[in-house]
Amino acid sequence: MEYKDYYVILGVDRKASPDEIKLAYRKLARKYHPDVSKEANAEEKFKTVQEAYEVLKDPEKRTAYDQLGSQWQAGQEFRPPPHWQENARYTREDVGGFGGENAEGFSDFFANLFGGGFQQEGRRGGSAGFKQRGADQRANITISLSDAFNGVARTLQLQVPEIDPKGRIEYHTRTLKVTIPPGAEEGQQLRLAGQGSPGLGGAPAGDLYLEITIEPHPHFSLQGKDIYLTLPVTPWEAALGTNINIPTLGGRVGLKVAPDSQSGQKLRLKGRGMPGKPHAGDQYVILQVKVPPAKTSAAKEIYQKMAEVMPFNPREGW
Amino acid sequence: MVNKNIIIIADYSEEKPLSFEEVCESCGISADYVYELIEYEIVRPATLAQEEMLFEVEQLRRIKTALRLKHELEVNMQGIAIILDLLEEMEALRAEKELLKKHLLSE
Repeated sequence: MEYKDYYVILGVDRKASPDEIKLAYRKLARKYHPDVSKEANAEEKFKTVQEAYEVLKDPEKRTAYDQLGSQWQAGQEFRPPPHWQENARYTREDVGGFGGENAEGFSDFFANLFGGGFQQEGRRGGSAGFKQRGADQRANITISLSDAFNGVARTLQLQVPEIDPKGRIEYHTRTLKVTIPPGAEEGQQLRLAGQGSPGLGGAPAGDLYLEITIEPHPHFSLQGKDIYLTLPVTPWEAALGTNINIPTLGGRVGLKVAPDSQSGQKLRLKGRGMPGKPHAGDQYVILQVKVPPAKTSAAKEIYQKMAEVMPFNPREGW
Repeated sequence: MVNKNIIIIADYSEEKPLSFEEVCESCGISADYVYELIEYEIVRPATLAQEEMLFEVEQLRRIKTALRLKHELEVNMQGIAIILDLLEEMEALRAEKELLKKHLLSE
C-alpha cells in the first residue's frame, strides 16, 4: 500500500505542536467539509485530512507513526515493520469514537497500521450473541422528467456487503426492481425498508435509500412540483392575443394568450405540473416576445410605420 | 465478488415515514439526542404525539448532516440549526437561479 505523509497532508512541520496540528486541521476541515465546501473532490480530501488528524492528534498514534521514520515519501510503496503488531495497542474499537462511521473510508495504510477502517458490522465480528441492525445503504437513480411524471419501473444492481459464516465481508450483487410512483421530486429519497445491509445476530437488515435525480429537459424546467416552459411569441400574437397549442407533460393543450401581453409574463396552467398530494403542481408558461429581424426594405418600412403610428416610450420616466 | 443474482421486486408505492426507534437505529443515536434535535428544531417530526411520533424520510438527511457538523466541525446545536436552514435556503436559491437563467435570459 501507499505511504501517507500525514504531516504533508495537514501542511505542518514534523515537529509541530498539538495546537498547531489542531489549528491546521480545523482550517482544512472547514475548507473541505462536504456540507459546505465548493471544492472538487471535497469528500475525498476531507477524509484524507480527517485520517491525518486522527493519527497526529493522538500522542500514542503519532509516536508510533513517527517511528516509521521520516525517510518515506508520500505515495511510496510501503510495508509495516516486521514486529509492528506486537507494539500496537489499538483495537478496532479505539478507532472512530462514534458509530465507526469515522473510520470508514480511511486508507489501507491507516487500516494496516492502526487496525481500523472497517464497517460497523466488522468491528465486533465473531462475538457470540451480538446483535446489531444492518447499516443503511444509499444509491442514486437518474430518471427522465417524463418518467418522473408518469412513474417508471427500473432495475438496479447494487453491491451489498454481507458477512459470511466466518465473519469476513463479501460483496454480493443484488438486483432490485423498483417501481417509482408518478410525481417523484428531484432529490427525493425513497425508503426501501429492509433492503440495506443484513443485520448481525438475527437483527433486522438496514434500509436502502434511493435518491432520485431527474435529468434536465431541453424545454421544461422543474421546481418542486411546478413545471416552467418558455413560450416564444411574435409581437402581433402578444399585442393582439391568440390561441397557441403548447406542450405539457401530459400532452398538448390550448393556451389563450390575452391581448396586450408582454414579454416575461407568466401564465398559469393549473394542475398541469407534476402529480402529487394534496394537489398536482402547475405549469407556468413564460412569454418571450421575439422581434422579427428587419431584413428586407419592406420590413424596415413596416417598423418605421409602427414607430410613427404607435408612439410608445418604454423608457418613460428614466 | 460472488454474483447471487437474486431479483427482488420492491414496489415502492407509498411514502413510509419512520418511527422514533427507526430514526435512532438508522442514525445510530440515542433517544435523548433525538429529543434534543427536536428541541432545537434540527429535526421536525410529522406528528408530535409521543407515542406516535413519525418522521418523514427527508428528516434523516438533516440528522446526518447535523451529526457531521457536530463531529467534524464542532458546531453546537444552535449553530447546526442555523446552518441547516441556510443550506436549505441556498439550495432553493440555486434552483431558482438556474430556472431564471434558463427561462428569462436569452442564449
